Amino acid sequence: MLRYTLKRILIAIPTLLVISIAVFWAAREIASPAGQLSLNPRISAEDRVRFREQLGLDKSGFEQYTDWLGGFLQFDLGESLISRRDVWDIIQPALANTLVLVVFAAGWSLLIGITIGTISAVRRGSFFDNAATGFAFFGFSVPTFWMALMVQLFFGLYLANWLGVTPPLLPTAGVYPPGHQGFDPGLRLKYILLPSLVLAVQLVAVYSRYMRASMLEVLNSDYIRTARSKGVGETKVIVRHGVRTALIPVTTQFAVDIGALVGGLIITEEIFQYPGMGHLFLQALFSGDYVLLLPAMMIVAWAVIIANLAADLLYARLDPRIRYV
Amino acid sequence: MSEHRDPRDEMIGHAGQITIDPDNVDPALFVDDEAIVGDIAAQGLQLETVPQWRLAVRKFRRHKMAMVGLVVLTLIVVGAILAPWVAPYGETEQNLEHSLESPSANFWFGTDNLGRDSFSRILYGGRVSILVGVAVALIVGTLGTTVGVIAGYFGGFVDSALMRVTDTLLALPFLMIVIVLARILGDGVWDIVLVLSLFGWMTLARIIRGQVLSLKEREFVEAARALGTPNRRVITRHLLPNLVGVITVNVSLTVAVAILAESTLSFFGLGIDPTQTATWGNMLGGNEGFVTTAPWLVWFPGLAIVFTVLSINFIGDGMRDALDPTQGKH
Repeated sequence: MLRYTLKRILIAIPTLLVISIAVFWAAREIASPAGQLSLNPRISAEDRVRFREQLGLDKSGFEQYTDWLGGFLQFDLGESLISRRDVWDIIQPALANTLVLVVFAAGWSLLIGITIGTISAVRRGSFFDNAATGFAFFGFSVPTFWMALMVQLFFGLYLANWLGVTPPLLPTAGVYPPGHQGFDPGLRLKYILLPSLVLAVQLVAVYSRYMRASMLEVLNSDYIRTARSKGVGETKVIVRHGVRTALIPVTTQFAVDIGALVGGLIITEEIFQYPGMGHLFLQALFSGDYVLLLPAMMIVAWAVIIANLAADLLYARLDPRIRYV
Repeated sequence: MSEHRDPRDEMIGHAGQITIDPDNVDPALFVDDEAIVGDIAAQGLQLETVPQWRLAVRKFRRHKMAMVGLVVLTLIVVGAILAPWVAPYGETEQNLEHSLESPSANFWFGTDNLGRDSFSRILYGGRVSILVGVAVALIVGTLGTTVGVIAGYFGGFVDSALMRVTDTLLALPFLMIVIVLARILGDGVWDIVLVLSLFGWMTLARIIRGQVLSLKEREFVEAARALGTPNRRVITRHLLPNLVGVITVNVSLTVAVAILAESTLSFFGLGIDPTQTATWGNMLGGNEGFVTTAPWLVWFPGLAIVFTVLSINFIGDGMRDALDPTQGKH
């Protein structure tokens, strides 16, 4: 196991490097700093030279890349081109916000998905099972951004009008009401409810299907039959023996889906105006702030790769059938 | 095993995993055995031979939701293709005195801020959205099949190299990459098709590789290779015909994925340029500001996407049942 782990980590390093080169190239391609400088007629020739030196643009591409990567690995990310603030100071709170959102969405999707999947498998062919199937198809087919808009519309307009309440029952944007200072867990929870649920819908659809399939397989296995014939109570059979085993493929699948979760994050954060990494990424992309865009992309891409690696290792550990080669 | 089989179990296909359920093999497929044919004839019964594709069609027609999906999708596609003849107004025709009107007999789905008829624009927009979906699916089908067949058939170094690339791309955050590339490449229809295809072929490649690995071990392929059949001929004559089912199912599901991805990109203003042509996605993006004052502008393009994608997913599910009984079963 140790050898396998080490080998997988060694293989991942070149991948991370290749990705850092690709990210570096892409961010520069989107927002070419030299191009922006030369296009602005109000910047004098001397200033242009000075700026180029300041940003390190007079060096070769390779040198610029290694300088940047060295800085990145030491959390020295430079200054935002737009706000002039230290990029690491901008990224830290965004990263924290995103992690909170991911934890909530992951919690919902696993909790709801596993419950739906288990009930579907136990009551196969029932009305509940059919409804769950319909819901899963729906979850796969509704664009996340449209669902987010519809949820905002429903809570912010239709439901609020119908109940005649202002402000609406659940807030549809931001993390706190405007002007709020300090940390307030109750308010925070209220604000994160809708974005985290929207982000979870597609995953609930996925996990309920996985859990259903996995659970059906387990319920059909010999040791469940043995447990039943020994007179173990049905609830205990399902929860203790069934769900626990059926969870293995589902939990490992979860880590693999982190890449897809990033897409959902970008969409939900943007529509719910939630100040996380996805929101930051789009903001940097549209404003051409490559100093901010680079670490935003790098952190997300590396996190996804590392999560996948962790999933592989976890799977190898949980499932003894995997051979370590 | 058979008592727990249910077509719904197969909704999520598992890449590269193949199990053959002996209880599910259609007995009609085995009636070409001469002894059995003789027995049946001896009993004075007549043997009906049914071609395989007709069995598939029969199976597909029994899948209710797939048939509903087929009808809905046909209506949408025909409406989109015939847009210039059936749409009550032109794609860019402005009726400024009727701007932001709610749905009425004159404007079925209401009008936008420029007084353009939302219903007509959805019909026109469907042409581009569906075109992008189909184009991406065809390219993805070709790329994914090629990579999967080469990796699975030749094995060894080629296989590990191709699969390393596939797995790495598969592990990346799809939407983020697509957004970045769309920003670099531009906002034309074919730019978007290119971006979505380049990063959409990996799942199919994995599935095809898995199928080829198991087909390679089958007697008819071994026999063909033992006879010295050239690789190209083994692939085109023996492997590909057996992959048609899997490819068809996955390509059809890719259309749905591509339509969703295009609409997301266009919604954020990174997809197809709204000044050139309407798509369901850029209609939503352009009208987001009117979400509270003119909600119909957000309702109908979204519903168009949902109905189309849902239909395609149901059809794909039906096709999986009909063409590919071995896939995605546990």
